[in-house]
Amino acid sequence: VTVTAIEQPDFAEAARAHLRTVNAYLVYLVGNRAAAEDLTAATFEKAFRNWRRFDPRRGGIQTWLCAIARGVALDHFRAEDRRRRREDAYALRQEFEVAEPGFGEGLSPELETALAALSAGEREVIALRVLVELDAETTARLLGISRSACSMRLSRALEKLQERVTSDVEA
Amino acid sequence: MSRPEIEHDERFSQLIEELRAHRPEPSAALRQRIERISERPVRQAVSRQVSFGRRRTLLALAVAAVVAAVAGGIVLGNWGSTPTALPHARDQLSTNATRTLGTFSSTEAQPAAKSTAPAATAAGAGNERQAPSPVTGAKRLAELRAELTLRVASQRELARATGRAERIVRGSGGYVASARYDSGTERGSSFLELKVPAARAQSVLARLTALGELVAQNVSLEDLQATVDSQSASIGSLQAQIEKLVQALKDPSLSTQARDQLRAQLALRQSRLAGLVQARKATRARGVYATISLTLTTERARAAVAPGRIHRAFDEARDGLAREAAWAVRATVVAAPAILLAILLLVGARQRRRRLEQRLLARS
Repeated sequence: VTVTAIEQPDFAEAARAHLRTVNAYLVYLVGNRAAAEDLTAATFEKAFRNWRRFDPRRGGIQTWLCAIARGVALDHFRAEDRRRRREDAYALRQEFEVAEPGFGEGLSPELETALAALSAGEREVIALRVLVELDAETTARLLGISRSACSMRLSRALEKLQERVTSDVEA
Repeated sequence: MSRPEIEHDERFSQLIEELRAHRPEPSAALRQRIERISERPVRQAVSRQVSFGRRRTLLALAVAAVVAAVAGGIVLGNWGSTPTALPHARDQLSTNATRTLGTFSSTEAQPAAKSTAPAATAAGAGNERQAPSPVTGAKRLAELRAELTLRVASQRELARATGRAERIVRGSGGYVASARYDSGTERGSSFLELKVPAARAQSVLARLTALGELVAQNVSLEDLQATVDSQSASIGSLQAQIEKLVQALKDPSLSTQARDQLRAQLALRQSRLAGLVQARKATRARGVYATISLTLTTERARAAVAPGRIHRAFDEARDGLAREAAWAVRATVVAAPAILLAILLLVGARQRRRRLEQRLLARS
């Protein structure tokens, strides 16, 4: 049994290094840039509060931040879901969210539309594997599914995206 | 489809390239927000953490569990064993006595090496404490059975002790029911089945015990009074019934058929009465004489080897561990359904949460 002093990485450095990745993940997951920026800030706020709990031996900072971001996003989705249900029950639903286009500057309109048409779950797996560039094992663990299910989900999401882009271009 | 698989899947390469080339960038406002969060002082930048490692933790826990189990075993063993203040208790008489509703039984075994009654010091007060002292009411009828095994020093002493035993029994008004005498070159033995009046049984036993070194004794006392009382009650009841039947038969107005029936009943009860009277007589006869099976032998009993302290400690630890294991099995049997249910509930709750998350993400 050894007692070791574990050097915690600097939070400011970690935030600077991973802000882009976490923001990209949340933009894809939420599909709304304004909301994603709020959630990114909330993610780093939470990460700052729990910084002492981060254990480098259990995984990378990026994975840890993505896990926090996922929790924050799920809370957001739940809150949105409750809001929608309340509005459905008591009044006509109004779409307050301003659909701010842009999963990324310079993306083709067809790809933007196709991404918007995917579900959050499908966009999430694309974000984690393609943008965050996590491996299949880590992604599966983060999503709480098996590795094969993760690969299957990614494959289907990309196929769907490809089909929609192709059909839009042809149209 | 791991990362290289994505790279090598030609179908999606262009798509992936485009997605990666145009990642969403955080706005300047977001960058500032994050900077502001980062500027706050982190309470503990360097934290000392005790790093055990999962395997080492498990190993340490396993070792701790074994140590705790052994320590518990020793403690439990000591609690359940003979007090250490009496170290010679194991070497002395081991007594096992059981008492049931109408039976008293006492078994005593004494190694020859520790015998306190040498053959030479035959009768006397010193030998009285070796004699069995079965507990029974003074006026209650009881059947006493005793088995005594005594060691005598030599063949000559065997013959003399056998003769003395016969004389003791006859002198007390008893008799020898059966006898067997074996005399060999190296060792000899004799077996006597003695019938002794119950009232003198204890004094006879005490005197017999003094004939040699007591190797083993087994005394049982069965209370017969309850049986006799029950038989007497039944006899009284039958006699009353017979009396009534006799009176009824004296009635001249009885029809022939009724008379025959009453006679049959009378004959049946008289037969039962005779049987019961015989049985009570036999029961009483059992209580009149005590049966003593006396074995005299020249063979030296194997001396009991007193276990050493380490041996005893091991025995006690083993007993304690066995008790712990029994408790662990009981606890497992009792707690297993609850634990299983808790695990199932946890797994179910986790699966449900995952399903809800998937649904939420699918419709968002």
